[in-house]
Amino acid sequence: MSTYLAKRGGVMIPTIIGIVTVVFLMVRALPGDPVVFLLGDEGAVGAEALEIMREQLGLTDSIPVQYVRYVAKTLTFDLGNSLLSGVPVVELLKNAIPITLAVAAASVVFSVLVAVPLGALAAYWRTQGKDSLDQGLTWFAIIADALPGFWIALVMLLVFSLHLGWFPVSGTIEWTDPWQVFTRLALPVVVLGIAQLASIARVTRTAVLDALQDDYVRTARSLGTPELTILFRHALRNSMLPVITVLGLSFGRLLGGTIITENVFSLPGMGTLLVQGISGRDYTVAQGVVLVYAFLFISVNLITDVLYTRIDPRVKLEA
Amino acid sequence: MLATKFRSRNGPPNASSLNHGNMAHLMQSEKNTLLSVRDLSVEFHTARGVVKAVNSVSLDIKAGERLAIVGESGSGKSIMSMSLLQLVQYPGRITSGSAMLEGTDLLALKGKKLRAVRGSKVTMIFQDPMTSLNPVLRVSEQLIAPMRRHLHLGQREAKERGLKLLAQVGIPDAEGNFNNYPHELSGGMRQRVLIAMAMACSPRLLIADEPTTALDVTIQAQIIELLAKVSKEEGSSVLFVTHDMGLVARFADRVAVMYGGRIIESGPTDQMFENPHHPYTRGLLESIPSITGERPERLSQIEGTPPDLAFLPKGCSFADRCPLSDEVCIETQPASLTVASDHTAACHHSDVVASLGERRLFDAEN
Repeated sequence: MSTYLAKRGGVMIPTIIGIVTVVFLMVRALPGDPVVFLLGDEGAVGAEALEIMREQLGLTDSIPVQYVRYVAKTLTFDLGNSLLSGVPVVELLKNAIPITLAVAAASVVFSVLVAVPLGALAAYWRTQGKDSLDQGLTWFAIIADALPGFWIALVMLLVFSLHLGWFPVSGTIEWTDPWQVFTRLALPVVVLGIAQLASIARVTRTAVLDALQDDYVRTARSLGTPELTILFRHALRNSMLPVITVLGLSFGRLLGGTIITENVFSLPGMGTLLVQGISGRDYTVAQGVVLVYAFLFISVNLITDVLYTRIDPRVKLEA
Repeated sequence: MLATKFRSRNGPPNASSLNHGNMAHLMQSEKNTLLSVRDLSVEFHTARGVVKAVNSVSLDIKAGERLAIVGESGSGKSIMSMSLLQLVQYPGRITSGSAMLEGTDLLALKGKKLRAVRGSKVTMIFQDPMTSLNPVLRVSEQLIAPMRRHLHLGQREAKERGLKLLAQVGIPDAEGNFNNYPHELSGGMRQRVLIAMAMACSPRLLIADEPTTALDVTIQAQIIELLAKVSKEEGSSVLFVTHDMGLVARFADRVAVMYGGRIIESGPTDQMFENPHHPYTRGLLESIPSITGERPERLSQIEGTPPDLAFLPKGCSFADRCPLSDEVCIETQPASLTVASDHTAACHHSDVVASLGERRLFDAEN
């Protein structure tokens, strides 16, 4: 196991370097100039001022030189300063990462806690000849997949924040006040969760339906095991592999979702930071955020693989 | 005789089923009836129509008796045995019948009362040990659960008893295997674990649904011996579902032959092998090759296929494969008649079958 983890960790480094390279080039390929965003255009401040600022920010060097400097700095965990505000990117990320992580993690927990029991019950009732929940889930999945996240977010904001006034529309997050954190994060978590919910419920339902036909379920039943125990201890546990797989795979989509959701709900997370970084051509900020996203995504994939072995003793990870 | 031929292949038969003509013995045994199934029918409502998997089956098992249910695939024998514990799943449904076990109708039980019988008074082992244990739970967890549930043992007591049981069913290094996962055990070992689970609460009746079919031949013999041993030790009756006539001769006190969802003949094992009264039983016995006798070019076989349980014929369901069938067979369902003491057969021509002697009914040459 530890050799496996070491190997996987080793593979992460070139992957991240690759991502860093692609992001570095893509950000610079964007039309627009950070210095103009910062000072205004040439007519306003004069070409000389722009040139000085460029020099200060190290943007006059050739792209390869900038690249080597950036990679070298990144390896020492120095992500540079924001071109626009001068604040170290690491500082910006320190504030933004917990918000995004909280939203993403809570939405995963929320969708799993709702979708897995729903999917399991839908499968169970189907084996008993009652398939209304199953059909309901199918319809829900179709609708949830068809509705774009930002639209759901806007509707929720409209209904729950503006009309009903249950949740604040904006505001900073004070981690010391759990209730405030809850009211600020509840809507974005639900919005992100709904997208996940549908697919997890469908996968759970199919896997549990399969597992309920398995021989060990019959054995358990023949020994007087209560039906709920059969469903949740025997069948569900054997169905978790595909569910974990889907969760791991959809994590990328989830991170993408946080970008839009954070912006709609004005949450100062990484998504908001990324959009600011890109629209302001703030190269260092955009690069820093994407780097963290990439790291998160790769880590989740690794966690997924390790989870397999926790759930199914037959799975052995080979280095 | 057929039966003799059979013995030479399988060693001496069981010493039971003697004295069946003895009236005193019969009355005694009647009193000791453990399970009495009457008019049991199971149907599956499918897109093709109603599949009548089990049709008005009646049978009795005495305390300590070993009854074999014999039949080919699709004869309804597995469904019948599973329905005794209400293990037939939707779309299958028990449509009629009762199964009285010590004053309780197993088929009428529900919820908690049903679960209290499952795994304690009546237990079951299944065909495929490779898949019958939960792959993600340790042997210990699966073995202990029924004891904690039914015998209300504490964790430590259940573990002690579990280890004892594993040793009893011949698992080497019981302590080590106790904490293993099923995939770390061989098929034979897994079936031993399943037998230990089934015997954990000293059941009155053990239902074994083809317990050796998925195992290789050398292991088969061991498992059958183990079943015989543990059921005898606990005084459990055994309902043994199989299509292996060799195992029947070796293991069972009585035999019931199923065909088309019905029991078409039943009786003490000796009598059934010695003097079958139904052409289907006769055909099964004739198709067994002999090791000592001369070897025919081809083994005799029963031509045709078993009936489609969704479209059972009006008359005898064996009529289209039977060399003796005539208009009566096609028109009317034969009733189950007593042909000898404790021996019934459902055939219009059972007297003809009984008088065949050494002559073959199913000729290999045609």
